[in-house]
Amino acid sequence: MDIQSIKKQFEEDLSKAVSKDDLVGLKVKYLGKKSEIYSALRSLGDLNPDERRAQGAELNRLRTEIESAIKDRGGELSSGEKGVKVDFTEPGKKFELGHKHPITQIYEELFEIGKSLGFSIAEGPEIEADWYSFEALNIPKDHPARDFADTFYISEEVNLRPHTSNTQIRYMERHKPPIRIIAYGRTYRKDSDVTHTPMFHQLEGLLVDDRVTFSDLKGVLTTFAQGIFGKDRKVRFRPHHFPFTEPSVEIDVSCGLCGGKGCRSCKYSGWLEILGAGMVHPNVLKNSGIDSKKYQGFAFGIGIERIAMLKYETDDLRLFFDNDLRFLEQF
Amino acid sequence: MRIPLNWLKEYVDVKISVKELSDKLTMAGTENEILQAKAGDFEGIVVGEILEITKHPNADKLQITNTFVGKETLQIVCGAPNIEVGQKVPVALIGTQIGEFEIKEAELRGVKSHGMLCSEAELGISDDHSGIMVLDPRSNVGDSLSNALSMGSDKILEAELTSNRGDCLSMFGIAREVSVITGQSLKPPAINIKETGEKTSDVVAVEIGDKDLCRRYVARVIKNVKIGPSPKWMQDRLSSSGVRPINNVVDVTNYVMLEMGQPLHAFDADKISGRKIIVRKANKGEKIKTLDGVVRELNTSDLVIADTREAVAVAGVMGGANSEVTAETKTIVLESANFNPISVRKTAFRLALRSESSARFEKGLPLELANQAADRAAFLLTEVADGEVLSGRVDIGEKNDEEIKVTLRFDRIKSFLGEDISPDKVASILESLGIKTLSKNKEKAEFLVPYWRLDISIEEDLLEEVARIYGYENIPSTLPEGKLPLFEKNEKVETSKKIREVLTALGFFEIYSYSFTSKEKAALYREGADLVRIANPLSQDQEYMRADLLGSMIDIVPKNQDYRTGKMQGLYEIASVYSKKSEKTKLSGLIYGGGKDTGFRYIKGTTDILFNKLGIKNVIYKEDKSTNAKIFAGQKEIGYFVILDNADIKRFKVKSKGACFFELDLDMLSELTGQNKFQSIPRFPGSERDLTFVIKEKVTVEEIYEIIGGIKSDIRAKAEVIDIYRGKGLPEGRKSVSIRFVYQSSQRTLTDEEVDDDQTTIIKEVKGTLGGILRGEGN
Repeated sequence: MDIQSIKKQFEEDLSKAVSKDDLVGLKVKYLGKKSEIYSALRSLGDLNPDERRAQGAELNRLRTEIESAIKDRGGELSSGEKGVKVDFTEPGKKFELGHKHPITQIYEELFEIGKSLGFSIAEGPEIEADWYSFEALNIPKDHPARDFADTFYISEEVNLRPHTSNTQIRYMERHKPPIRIIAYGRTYRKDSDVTHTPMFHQLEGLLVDDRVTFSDLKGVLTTFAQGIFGKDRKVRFRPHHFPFTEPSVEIDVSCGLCGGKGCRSCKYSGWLEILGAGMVHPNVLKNSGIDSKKYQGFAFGIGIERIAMLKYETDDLRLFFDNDLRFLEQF
Repeated sequence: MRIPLNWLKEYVDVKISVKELSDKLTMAGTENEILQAKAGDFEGIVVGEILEITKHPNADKLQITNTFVGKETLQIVCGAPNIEVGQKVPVALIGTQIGEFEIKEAELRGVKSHGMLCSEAELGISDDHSGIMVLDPRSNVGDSLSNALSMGSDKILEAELTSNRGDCLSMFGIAREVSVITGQSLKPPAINIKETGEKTSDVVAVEIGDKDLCRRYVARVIKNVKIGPSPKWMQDRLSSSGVRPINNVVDVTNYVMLEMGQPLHAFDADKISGRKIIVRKANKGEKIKTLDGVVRELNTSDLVIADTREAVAVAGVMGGANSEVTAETKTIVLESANFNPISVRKTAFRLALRSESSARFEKGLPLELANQAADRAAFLLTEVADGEVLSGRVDIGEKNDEEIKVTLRFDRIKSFLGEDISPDKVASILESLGIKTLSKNKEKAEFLVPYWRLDISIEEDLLEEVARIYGYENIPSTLPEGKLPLFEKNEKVETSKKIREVLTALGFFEIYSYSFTSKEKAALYREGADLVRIANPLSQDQEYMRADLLGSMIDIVPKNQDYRTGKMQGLYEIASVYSKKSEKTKLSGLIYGGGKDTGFRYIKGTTDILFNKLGIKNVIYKEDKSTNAKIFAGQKEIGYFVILDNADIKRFKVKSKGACFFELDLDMLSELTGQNKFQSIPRFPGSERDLTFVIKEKVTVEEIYEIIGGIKSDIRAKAEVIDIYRGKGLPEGRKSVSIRFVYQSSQRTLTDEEVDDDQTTIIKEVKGTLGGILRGEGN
C-alpha cells in the first residue's frame, strides 16, 4: 500500500466534506474495519521485525494525523457550515408569546419597590360601605366628592369605592402600628372621556408608627418615583389638599420628553404630576382605632393608568380597557 | 381661577418675573400655569389683519381672505366660521411648522392659499378649535405672535385652587399669598363712601326666614345710578378673568366678587314689591324665571330671596328676571349675604346652574366679608355709575364667626415634619399669614386663626402652613427609621404572578375589562346569581356587577376578529366577580379562533400545566352538564369550564369553530399551591412504546386507563393518551386513541421481551373488555 497516495486521497476527500455526516463517512473509510490502514495494521505480523517497526510507526502516524484532521474539521463545521452563506437580514423565527397587560406590569414594578422598602401587600373590597369609602376618611356627608355624579352607588350606604383608601381603614382596624402596607385594586368614578374611564386602578400606601415624619414621606416617595421613572428624573413635592391627609402633597416628576424645559406634553411646566400623598389626618387614625396622640403616619395614592400613560407615552386612557390585541401585544 | 397680573399688582407689588411668581405660588400650594407663557414656540407666526373676505366659489364652508401681514397681503383660504374683516389674527406663513405639519402653498378646491390662519388649539395655547384666535386690536400687524401676546394684553396666571382654600378664590386672597411668599406689603381695596342723609333701613327691610341657610344678610341701597357700560379698565379686568362685561352695575358686583371673594347681587329696588327682602325656602311648586330667561321649578329645600309677592332670586345661584337691573333702573338694592354652602351646592347642582357665585358659596365664606364687600361695591358704584349711597347698612344675622385658637407644640416641628425650624421662625411664618401669636413659651404657643382662614382648626393645619411657607423643598428627604413591621407575604399576589408567567409563556394575552356589564352578560353560565345592580350606572351596558368573567371576555372576541385570523388565541383575566354576599377573585381564560378542535382539550392542557406549575395535586374534571365540567382539587370545587356550543358561538359573534372557557377561584388556588418536590432521575435507560386503538366513541379515556391500571406491572412507569383522532378512515362511531407507554426500572436495563409481554397483555385486555382494536390490524 502507498501511504502517500492514501494521504493525498484523504486530504482531497476531507476538503469536500461539508457536514458531520461526511466526516463520519471519512472516519469509516480511512480508519474503519474495512479500511486499508486497518488491514495493513492487521497484516504487520507478516513482516520481518525491522520492516514491521518502520511500517508500523508510519501507519500509526498516518492514523493519528487522519484522526486529528477529522476532529479539527468537525470543530470548524460546528461553528458554521463552510460554504453556506447566511443571510442575516432573514427574519428570525416568530415565537408566539403571550402578554401581560400594561397595568399588571406597572403594578408588579411598584410591588417590587414597595417590598424592597418593607411594605406588605394588602387588599380590600371594591363594593364598600360608606364608612370606609368616605366617612372614616374624613370626607363628611356633604363633601363635594360625594356628589352623585362622581361616585357609583349600589344603595345610599354602599358604593363602588372611588379610591383604594378604604383599605387603609380596614387594615388599621385589624393591625397595630408599626404598619407598612401597599394596597392595590380597582376603583370607580362616574366619568368617561379620553382621560377618564369609569373604572381605574390605584396603588395605596400607608406607613404608621410612632416617629415617621413628613421628611420620611419625601424619602419613600422619591424612591417610588425614581424607581418607576428612573434615577435621572427630578422629583418635586407641592402643597395640596386632601381631606384625609394634613399636610397634603402632590408629587411631580420632571418631564421625560423635554427634560424639564417645558413642552406640550407637560403643558410647558416641565413637570408631570404622578401621585398624591400626605400625613394621615388625625381623624382618620382615630376613626380606625389608632391613638393619634401616640402614632402618626403618611399615606399615598398612585393612579396606575396615569403612570402607564406616562411611561408608555399613550394619551388615550380608554385603550387600556378596549382590549385591542394589537395594543396588548406591544407590551 | 384667572389671575391677571396687572390687577394683582393693585394689592401687592410684584418685583419678580412672572415665571418666578408662578413657580413660587405653585410651590406654596396654589398650583397655576402662565396662560401666555407658551410664547416661545411661535416661530414663523405673525400678526395679520383681515382686509377682505370673499366667498369660496366651490365650497360652502370655505372663505377667501386677503390678509395683510406687514410687507405684503396674502390670499389665504380659511374654513373657520368666526372671521371678520378688521380682525387681527395669527398667521402661519409658508414654511412654518404647526405641530407635525409644515405650512406649504396649497390649493384648496381650486383657490390658492398662501399660509394659514390659526386657532388657539392649532397653536397649542388651549383646546379651543371652534374658530380662529382673535388677537387684541392693538397688536401690530407683521409683529411676531409671541411679541403680540406679551404686549398690550396682560399676563395671566390660571390657578387651580384646592377645595379648602376658599379664601384664595379672589384677587385679594391671592395677593395675600403673594405678599407672604414675596415679602411685599399688602394694599387692601379702597373703600371711601360718602353716604347721603337718607337711611337705608327706611328704603328696604330684610327678614331672614331660615337662619341656618342664611347666617347674614347685608343690604345697601344706591340711588340715582346711571346705567351704562363700565369703564374700560374694569371691562378689561373682567374679560381677562373670563367674565363678560354687561353694564356698570352688574360689572361692579362681579368685579367685587372676583376681587374679594364675596358674591353680590344687585336688584332693581323699584321692582322689589313692598320694599321688603325675605330670605326663605321656596314654596312647593314655586317657579322663577331666572336671568338666563329659563323658568325653573324650585323645591322646598331651595333657598330663595323673595319680596312680599314672589321669589326674586335663587339665593347664591342666580337672580330672577323680575328684579333685573336694566337700562331704566334708578335705584338698586345691593345684596351681600352668607348662604349655606351645602344648600347652594345642592340647588346649583340640581338646576345645573353652577356659576362663579355658587362656586364661592360652596367653599364657605367668612361672615366678616359680607359688610366689607357691600361697602366696596357701594363705593365703586359711586365711582362708575354716579350713584348715591344711602346712609348705613341693613345688616341682619350673625356678624362674626367664632374665634379659632390653636396650640402648636414646637417639638412637633421636628417630630412631625422632620426638620428643625426655630420657634421664632415658626411664629414669624404664621404671623406673616395673619395667624396671630396669642401666647408663647419655649414648648408651645397659642395662635389665633384669622377670620378668612376657615380651613385651620387643629395643630396639623398649622404644621402644614409652616411647612408650605418654609417650603416643602427645604425639608430633607429621609427614609423611615422606625421599627419594621413583620413582612406578610401576599399569597394571592404571588400566585397571580406565577399564573401570569405560565399563561404568558403559553401565549395567552392578559385583558382588563370593566367590572360592570349588561344584565344579560353579567352571569352567562350562572343561573340564579344574585346580581349586584348599580343605582346610577353610566348606561344599561354597565349596570350590573359581573358574577362571572365570561360575558366581558366574550365581548372582546368580535372586536379582534381580524387579528391573526384563523389562529388559535387565548385570553385571560384575573379579576373579581360579585354577588350580594361576596366578592371573589377569579382567574378566567378563553380559547377561540382555531379549527374544530379548539376546545376543551386545549383548555384542559392549559389548566393542567397551571396546576402542575402551582404544585396543585389530585385535580379531577367532573362532568356537570353535557358541555360543562366542574374542576375539583381533591374534595374542593375550585372552578369550572364551559365548552361553548354552536348557538352561543353564533350569539356572541365569535368567528370560530370552537371556543372554550374556564374560571378558577384565585383564593383557592393560592391556598392549594404547593411545592413540587424533586423526583429522582432514572439511572437506567427506559423504553417507550406507542399503541393506537380504534375504539367505540362511548368508551372514555378513564375506562381505558382503568383497564391498563388493572394489569399489574413493575416496569410500566406511565401510560398516557397522547392523541385522539376522529374522522376520515375510521368506521362510524369510532375514534382512535393513541397511548404512550414508558417502561422503566430503577435496578436494571429492561429487555425487549419483558416489555413485549406487557404490551401483549394490554392489547388483549383492551380488545377483550372494551372492544378496542389495534389500529392497522383490521378486525
